[in-house]
Order: sequence, then structure tokens, then C-alpha cells
Amino acid sequence: MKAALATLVIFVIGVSVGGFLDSTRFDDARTRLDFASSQADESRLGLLFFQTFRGNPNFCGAFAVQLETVGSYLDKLGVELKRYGEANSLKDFDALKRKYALANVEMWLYSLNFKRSCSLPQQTPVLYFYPDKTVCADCEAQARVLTSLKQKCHSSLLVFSVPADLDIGTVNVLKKQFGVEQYPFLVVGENETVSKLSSAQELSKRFPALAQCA
Amino acid sequence: MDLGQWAFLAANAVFLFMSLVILIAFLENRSSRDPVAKKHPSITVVIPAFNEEAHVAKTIRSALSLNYPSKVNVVVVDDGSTDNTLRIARSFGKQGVVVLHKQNGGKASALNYALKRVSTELVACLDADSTADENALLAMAGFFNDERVGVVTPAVKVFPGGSLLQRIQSIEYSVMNYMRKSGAFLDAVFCTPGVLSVFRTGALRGVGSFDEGNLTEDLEIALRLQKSGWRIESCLNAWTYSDAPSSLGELLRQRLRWYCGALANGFKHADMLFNKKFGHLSAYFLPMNYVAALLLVFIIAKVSFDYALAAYRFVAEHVSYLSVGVTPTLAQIVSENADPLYFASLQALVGAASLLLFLFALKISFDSTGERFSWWHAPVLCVYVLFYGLVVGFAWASSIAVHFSGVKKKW
Repeated sequence: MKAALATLVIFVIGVSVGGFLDSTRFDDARTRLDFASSQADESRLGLLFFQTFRGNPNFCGAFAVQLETVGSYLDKLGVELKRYGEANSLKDFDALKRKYALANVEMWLYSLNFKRSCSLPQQTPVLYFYPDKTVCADCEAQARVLTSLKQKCHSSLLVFSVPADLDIGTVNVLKKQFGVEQYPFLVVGENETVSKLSSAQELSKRFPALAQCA
Repeated sequence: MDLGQWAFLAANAVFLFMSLVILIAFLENRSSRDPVAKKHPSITVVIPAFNEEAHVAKTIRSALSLNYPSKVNVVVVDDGSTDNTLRIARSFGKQGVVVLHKQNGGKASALNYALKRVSTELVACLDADSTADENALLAMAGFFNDERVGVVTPAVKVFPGGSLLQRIQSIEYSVMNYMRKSGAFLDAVFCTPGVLSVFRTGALRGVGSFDEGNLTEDLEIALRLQKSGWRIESCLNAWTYSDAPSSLGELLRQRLRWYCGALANGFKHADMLFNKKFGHLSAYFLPMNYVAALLLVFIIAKVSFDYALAAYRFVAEHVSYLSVGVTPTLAQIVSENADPLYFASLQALVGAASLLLFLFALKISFDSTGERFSWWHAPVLCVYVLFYGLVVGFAWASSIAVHFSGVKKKW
């Protein structure tokens, strides 16, 4: 009886602590995602502002900084969501991952609009597709390649990562549009694609804009 | 959390419960001292030996050096050895060692052969590759003050030093000693190791001696004696030393025999399971043995899968990193994983709690058998915790497969 009670107490404490940690992880990730969403809202307003007062000279500089900041933020958030999701037991992280995927797609679309609106040929937005549910060793390596390029290119390379196997309608449309069938998969600029693991040199060789900063 | 993870958690909870039963029984009774002997009954130490030329001399010398107020008869049964065991044993004739020789029939048959010729009140079995501390018999004698006690088991240790595998087993043996003592407090010991377990001769004869066809006669006799109402005690101050397997193959063979024997005896004495007459033995310790084995196989299968997946990921990722020249440095890996929330999962908590409980049990086990924690325990413990369970789990899984496939396992 004592052993049963002790087991119950330890088990309840363990599950409670585990639940608390899960909640901490979940709340932390949700807060960051909310912040990223608010940044996306701000970007939307910025773009609207630019379209309304076309040619405002302050816009392009401010928006470039904004996109780089949000891009880096989302990048870190992506790593956190992946790790937290793996450590998580009781909370459903898929909903957060879906929001994260949509925030990235949204920011990627803004970055394309920004590139056009501000006429910045050296700026390279990249949409990076990877699987969330399966092991993809090449994707881990591709993420490192993109991170190393980003460190050299700063605002001229904007990477937006999308977990592609969460069955999100918009993401599925994008996958179909670009013919995403395997991972890692990159959409560089508006429509150029890379469908296999590529080193920094290979990417720089193929995309001159990257060669300049790398 | 998927079904597998819940099952893993539930299996751990059952293990936790089992561990706590043993721990609480031990802690509640640990202050009780070994009884002082009112008399020292006459005793015969029987050493069954088959092809033990490398060890038998040391074992006989150990038996001859046992401190005991009454005479200690030493009988060596050569079980049809084909090496020099018989010649070596006979060389101790001048020191009063009686040597019997018979055709090979297994350990139980050798013990029974000697038992027919024993005239002392007590009889001890000492495996031919084992030794006993000189005061072991003295420490155990007091338990026979209680007329209901049929057997007293010692604390079995692995010979000091040895290979990493043997050092790992020394930790396991320590835990088994602690479990056996805990079982004794609740009248629920289900094994009488062949390393100087001391039997009341009348009790042994009364239940028909050892089962000669049995793979684990030491387990079988423990059950049969308790079925007949005899108690089994455990004496942690009686230290004995056994030669543990030094290679993985040897260890797996030994465990296959142990676990196949345990399964066979579980079925043989199935009437004892959940039988109120046998108290904690049947209500808890005996079923626990089998439930623990099944859980271990499940947990080990899951952990093995996780290890394999992690290893595959590690290798595959590093091959990919190399192919594009982005292999991270150690400092990078550390900084990328610096957030403790990455690791503090429910499974990690369960693992940490189990580890703490295990270390606590190990500490009290060491304390009770006069052993001290030393630095070499740290790396050995790491290997024990990370890998040894896999070996034992694999051995259990194989034993279950062998048992149910109907393959006849020999001693």
C-alpha cells in the first residue's frame, strides 16, 4: 500500500512537472509566434502604406530592416519549435507549427512584393521546404548552409522556412506550384528552384546575387 | 504523445511501483541485526565440479578456511570431468576433503549425489568457480535459530577487478543482493544462489532434493521449499565471490539459461502465483519477476529503437554536413542546444527519477554488504545504465522466444 501510494505521488508529481514544462515550452513558443504574427501584420501595413504613398523614400530602408529582423526571428523560432516539439509530451505543437508555416509564407510573399516595389535586384528571398514529421538529414545540412550564407549576406538573403508536411492548404498549393516532391527544396527568388541538398558554393554559383555576398 | 510513449510511461510507472515495494521493505527492516547463533549445527560444504581445473583448488581452499566452531566437512563431487578437476580435488585428500566421482549428470545431480551421503544438520552448496569469505558461515548460522528457516542465502559479489563486463555485473549482483534481502524481509526469496547458500539437510531431503532436469535448480528449490512451508533468509554479512562471465557471448549464454529456467519454473509452479498461502512471494515477488521481464523487453525494445534512430540521424546528418562542408564544431553544438527546455521532457524526467532511485538502491546495497563507492564505479555505472539493460532485455526476449519455441535448453 505504501509503495502504491508513493508510486502514485511520484507519478503525479512527475506528470505535473512534465505538464508544467510542456506548458512553459508551449507558452514560450506561442508568445514568440504571436510576436512574429504582429511583425507580419506590421509588414502588411507597411506594404499598404507604400502602395498608398507610392515612392516614399523612407519605406524601402525601413522595410528591409524589418524583413531581415523578422526573418532571423522566424528562423530561431523554427529551431525552437522543432526542439520543443520533440521534447513535448502533452501539448499539441502541430497547431503552432501550422501558424509558423503560414507566417513564413506570408513574410516570403511580402519580401517578394518588397523586392519588386523597391527594385532591389540584389535581394534574394528564399522559401525553404522541409519535412516536420520525418527524418531528413539533408534538410539539417541545408539549414546550416542557409544559416552560414545568411551570416554573410545579411539583409540581401531572406530565408523563410516552411514545414511542408503538415497538410496546410496554402502550403500544399505552393508545393504543387513549384513541384515540391522531395526535401530539402528551395524556391530562390520568385520561381527558381533547387530540389536537392546544395552547398554554399553551388548556390552562389547558380545565383549571382548570393555570390556577391558569399 | 503517441500510444507508444504512453505505454512507455505506464511501463515505467509499473517499474517504479516494483522498485518502491522493494525499497520500502528494505528501509523498514534494515535496522534488524543478524541473529547471534545459539548453536552451530554441523555442516557439510558440497562443491559440485565439472571441468573446473582452473578454479577448483581455490574453491576448496576457500571452503577449508571457513571459520566455524563446529567441524566443516568439505565434499567435492566430480561430475564426470574430462580435465584435471578430479586429480586436483584428490590432492586435498590429506586435508580431509572427501572427493566423490560420478558420471556427468549436471549440477543438481552432483548435489543430490553428495546429499545422499551427508550426515550433518546443514549442507552448503558452493559452486566450483566461487569462494566464500572466511566468516560467511558464522554470519549465517544465527538464522538457523529459527526452526522454520530452511535456507540462508549469502551476499554474492563478483571477484574484485576483472573486465568492464564483470565490473558491470558486480553492480548488478549488488542490486540482486539488496533485492534478495528485501524479499527475505517479506518471506519472498525466490532464488538460493549456488554460492554458499546453506540448507537445512532435513528440509532439502524432505522436499525431494534438487530437481535434476532443471536449468535453474537454485530457483526451483527455493520455490519448492517455500511451498513446503520453509522460510528462506538472506544474510548480507556473509560475503561470497563468484566468477562472472567475462565475455558478452558467455554472459548471454548464462542469461539464456537463467531466464529459460525462470520461465520453466514459473510454469512448473504456476499454482503458487497469486496464492494467498504464500504471502508476498506469490502475490508480488514471483509475478513481479515475470512482469518485470516483459516490461523490460518492451522498454528495451523502445529504447533500442530510439538509440538506433538517434544513431542513424547522427550519422546521416554528419554525412550530409560533410558533403556540403558545414560540419558544426562542438562549441556550436553546445550553444545550439543550451536551452534546458529542449531536454526536460516527461520521458527524461522519468529516466532521471528512475536513475536516482537506482543509485539510491545501489548505495544502500553497497552499504549493507561492506562495499564502498569508488571512482571506477562512475564510468561503469554509465555503461550499465546506457547499455547493460539492452543486453539483459535482449537475453530475456531471446529466452522467451526459446522457451515458447519448444527448443530444449541444456545446462
